[in-house]
Amino acid sequence: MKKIVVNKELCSGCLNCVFACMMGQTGKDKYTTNLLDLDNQARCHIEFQDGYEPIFCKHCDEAECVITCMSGALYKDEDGTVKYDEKKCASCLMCVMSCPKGVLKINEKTRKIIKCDLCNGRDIPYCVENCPKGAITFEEVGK
Amino acid sequence: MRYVVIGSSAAGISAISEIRKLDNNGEIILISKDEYIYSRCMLHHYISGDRDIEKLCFVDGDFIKKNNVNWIRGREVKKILFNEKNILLDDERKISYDKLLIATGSKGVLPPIKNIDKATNVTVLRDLDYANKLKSIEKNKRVLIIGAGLVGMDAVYGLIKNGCKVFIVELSDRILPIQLDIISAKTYEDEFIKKGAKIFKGQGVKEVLLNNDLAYGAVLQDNTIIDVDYIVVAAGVRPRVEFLDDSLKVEKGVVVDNMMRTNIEDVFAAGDVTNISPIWPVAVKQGIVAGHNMVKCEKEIDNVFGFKNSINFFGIDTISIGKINENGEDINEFIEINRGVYRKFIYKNSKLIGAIIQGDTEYVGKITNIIKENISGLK
Repeated sequence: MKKIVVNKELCSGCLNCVFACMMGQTGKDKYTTNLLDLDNQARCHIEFQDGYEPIFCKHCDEAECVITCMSGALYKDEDGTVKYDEKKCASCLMCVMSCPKGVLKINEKTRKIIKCDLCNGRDIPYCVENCPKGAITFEEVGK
Repeated sequence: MRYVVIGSSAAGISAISEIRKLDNNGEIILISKDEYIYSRCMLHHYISGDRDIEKLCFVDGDFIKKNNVNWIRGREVKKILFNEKNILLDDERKISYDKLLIATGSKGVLPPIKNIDKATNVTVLRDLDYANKLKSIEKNKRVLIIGAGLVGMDAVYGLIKNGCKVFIVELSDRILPIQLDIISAKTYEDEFIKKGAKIFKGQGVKEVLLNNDLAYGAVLQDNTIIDVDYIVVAAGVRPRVEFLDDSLKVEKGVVVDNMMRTNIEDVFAAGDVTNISPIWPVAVKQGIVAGHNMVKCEKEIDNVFGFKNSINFFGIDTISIGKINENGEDINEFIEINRGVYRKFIYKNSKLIGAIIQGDTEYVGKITNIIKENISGLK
């Protein structure tokens, strides 16, 4: 499957990926996207500690979030993407607690998880497409 | 090849997925006391009516069909005849196996309280049957919960939502003592009290008062008497092993190695029945490893870090990780209270070994990972 691969040395912390993720979900553009809208939070973020560290869902092979999910809301689809069915989710936070990368958080308003779906089959995820530094790429990695 | 799995919860179902992934043709038989596949962690949502039985299911509705499983549901195993590789069911049927997984989980136990085993209106909370009992308790009835751990508070949550009058008795000085400290527990205590619960802390129940076979009251250690219509006991669990004979090694649970093998060849165990770390994610991991090794014996479990839990009663989120109740000279705590967010970090020799985070759980997983590594490094 194709996954988002991060090269943090190239990251300049510009947050284009974060902004692109927000725009991609709503279909709005940079003039109309409401940055304070809780329903439109980015599924990736950048940590600032000893340089920039872009944090993206790895869609892990043995994903801790899937293993800890006691409602079946998080699951691996056939090509390996970790998907999220918010209707099943019981907002128990076990996945937030267990993701070793710290990618996950809850939407305080809807009580649902904010989870990357690789733009649901799009050829190139919005974040990758909008990275001006080549710090994140979309590559075939194993299965 | 015939694979037999006993138990249809986290470990058993995860094992079946894994077996089917690796062996498309083998025969899989699932035997379960449960009539449905459901998540025990969500029973409080069932009691409160927020979810029906279908919405408790943690796999796709067609899981059994898709994985070509022969499911013998609603049946208990009476005995396993290990030397002839047969399982005896409670309807006297005999099922043979090539590879067997024991994933029978655990059961609630009654503590040594006078008369508690004689009353018909006393129950534990473990399975759907028990949840149905709690669900049927009418509004305004007085229900006593013995034990304020996660199971007990789940029961409280469901019952309060149904309009019951709830009394909680807990030996410790706070509710959820394994997961929380005094401050983070108080957040929830206040909330439960606001919703009408009465909490008796630092107290046990001495005696249950009986009228024939019905409990009508409970006497606490300080002789307070609580009038009750129903009692829910949530004071500990034991692995469900009573159908096993001495040939299978059982200590605090069924003894397994890191490939989930028991001392008997071709017999595996996973989940709460092993009593290694009786939480959902560990049961799933053990189930995957067991299922894998039933087909191809090559997989070891990576870790069974079980000191973690999340709580979300009344929309207040708390995550508790690692060792949170440590004392000693080498222990340091860092506490931050800010705008409804409570964070406590516990360090041993300046290594982070535990954390309680309440109110804002964003990206906490990274901290879990650090604590997990630090604690396993300490061993």
